[in-house]
Amino acid sequence: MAFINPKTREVQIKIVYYGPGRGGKTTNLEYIYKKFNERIKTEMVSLKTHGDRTLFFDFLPFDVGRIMGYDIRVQLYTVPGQVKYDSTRKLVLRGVDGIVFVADCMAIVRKKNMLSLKNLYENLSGYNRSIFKIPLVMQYNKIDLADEGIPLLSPQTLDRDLNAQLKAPSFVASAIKGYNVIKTMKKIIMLTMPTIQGQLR
Amino acid sequence: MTEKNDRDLSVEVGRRLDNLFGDADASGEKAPDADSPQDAGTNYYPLRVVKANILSIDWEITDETIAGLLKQLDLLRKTYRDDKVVQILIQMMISLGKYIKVRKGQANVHSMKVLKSVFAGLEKVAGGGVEDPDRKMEILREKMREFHALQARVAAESGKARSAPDREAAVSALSAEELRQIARYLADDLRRVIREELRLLGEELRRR
Repeated sequence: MAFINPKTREVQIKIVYYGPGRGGKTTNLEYIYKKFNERIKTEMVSLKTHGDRTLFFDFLPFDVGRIMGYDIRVQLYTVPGQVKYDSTRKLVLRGVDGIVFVADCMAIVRKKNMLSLKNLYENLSGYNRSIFKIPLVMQYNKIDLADEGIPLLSPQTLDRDLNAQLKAPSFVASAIKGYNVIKTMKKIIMLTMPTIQGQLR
Repeated sequence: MTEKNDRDLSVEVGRRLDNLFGDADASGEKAPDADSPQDAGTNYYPLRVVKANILSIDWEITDETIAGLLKQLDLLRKTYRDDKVVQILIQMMISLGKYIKVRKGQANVHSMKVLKSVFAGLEKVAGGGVEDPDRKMEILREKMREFHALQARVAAESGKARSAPDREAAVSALSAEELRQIARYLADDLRRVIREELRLLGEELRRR
């Protein structure tokens, strides 16, 4: 549920990037921050380990502006992908409005994608929320690795593995090159709109 | 809010996002060449080609088969770039492959056996059969022991060749030098890589 402050007439939309470790969740946010920092005028908060892994979460807020009397603010979060940080992932999911599941296209991490999606399902259930009802976008990241000759899974295979029942909108992407990063973000924000409008009514 | 207001809010948010981030296609986001990557298949097994290369070498050592193995190992190194244990095992196989490439039929009789054994370890660690980090380290140590034992044998051969008397020694003088070079190469190269990788592993374990 979006955070709506009727007194200050402020709406906060919380988007969480979820997925297996090393899948490119932080890279999505870094691309948005580096490419559009001049326009969105914000700071990205990132807590990393020495090995450049996300320790707690990354946070990138930005203002969309005042629309129909409400200040619309979007907050992008990532979760740490490593299996051991499950309690942090659960915590970050609290009050989430929309989720981008960043799957890794590399064939060797196929199983990890599926385990991470299962973990998302379980953690949402902990908040009595259904993965089938929450706005969700699938991003199949790292397609640029095919150029290096690394075996990848096709979008069709990933759809079969992860999206057969969910039927969420999906994008192939290369977060490191920025390909489809913005499309993914716009799509998930727009998918949250009906729920937010429902709350505003 | 009325239904019309609902539509207006959606439309307006979409418009603002377009203003902020531009049209995604026009914002410099170029599709990588591999927009629709070829599927690696539902039964994808990244070590299959390496296994085939090793079987070929076991059958006949040629420059072509060894080059094929080294190429595949290099590719595997990129694929598993985040797994330190796998990296060390691959490095051991590369060193062994280079040694066999130089010595061919004269390679130590145990070299193929060690190559196959290190690969068996790699299969367990990278193939998903072993997930426990302690067990992975145990496998790595076992393979390193085998590798060092082979190094010692190659070094001993090199010593023997150096002390071999008379005509036989003269004939094998070049081989002895070659053996010494290979032994040195194996020792230096691998010592450097393993020292560095173990240091990183140690750091990672301390952080946990």
